[in-house]
Amino acid sequence: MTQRVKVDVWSDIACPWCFVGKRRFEQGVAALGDGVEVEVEYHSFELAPDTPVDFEGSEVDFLAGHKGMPAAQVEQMLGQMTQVAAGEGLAYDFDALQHTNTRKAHELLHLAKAHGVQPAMKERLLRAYFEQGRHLGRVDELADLAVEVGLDRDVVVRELEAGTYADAVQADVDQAMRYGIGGVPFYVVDGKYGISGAQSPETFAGAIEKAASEQ
Amino acid sequence: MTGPFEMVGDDAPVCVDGVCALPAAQDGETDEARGALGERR
Repeated sequence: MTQRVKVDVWSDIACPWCFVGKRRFEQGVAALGDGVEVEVEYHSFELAPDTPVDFEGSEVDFLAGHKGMPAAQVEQMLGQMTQVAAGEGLAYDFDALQHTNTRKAHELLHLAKAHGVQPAMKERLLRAYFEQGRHLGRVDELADLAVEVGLDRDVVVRELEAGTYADAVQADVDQAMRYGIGGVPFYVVDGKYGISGAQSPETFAGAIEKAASEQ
Repeated sequence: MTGPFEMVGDDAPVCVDGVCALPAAQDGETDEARGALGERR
């Protein structure tokens, strides 16, 4: 009999470790075999909610200004992050990356969940942000990406401009605060086990197997 | 413990407030060389 395990993931689109963690999580799930079915639901977390939609400058400029970090230190951080991501088959391009506010992207993820395509939308947005330099703060850009995973463009534009899912995003953010989640990615396995950070595939698989055995 | 959950796994880097902690230091590397920022959890 197939056992079903639910994994809730708090993450941001603009989170480099979240995309790395996603790949490692997927590798862990793939190693489980057919006995366990994993349902994943993504929840909103904003790393920098005060980020403007249109920031004129590079990722280095933003972090150096936002955090007061020396540019050389930021460049080192991004360089090492790029190497880590490459180890998971991800081609981060921080030079092309367009730093923006991710609230609308999170609203799109809630819309996608309502239409049964959240996992595909999450993957498409992460690739668009980190590998393709797409602007994820703009409704028209988000709508173009949404069409690629089967959503109706007019519906997406209408719902994002109306802010239909804004409350749902805030509810996730508030829940993270209640849970004490201060950094992402953060995974909750079957409502019982918490996993913080981009852990190894074995760690994810072990937690899921443990949860499944206790059902 | 974060919230009501039993935490599993090792200490792993996360992103906090727009900044991402770097991977664990290799032997011989100093904190300055790592440039580690943000929290490790």
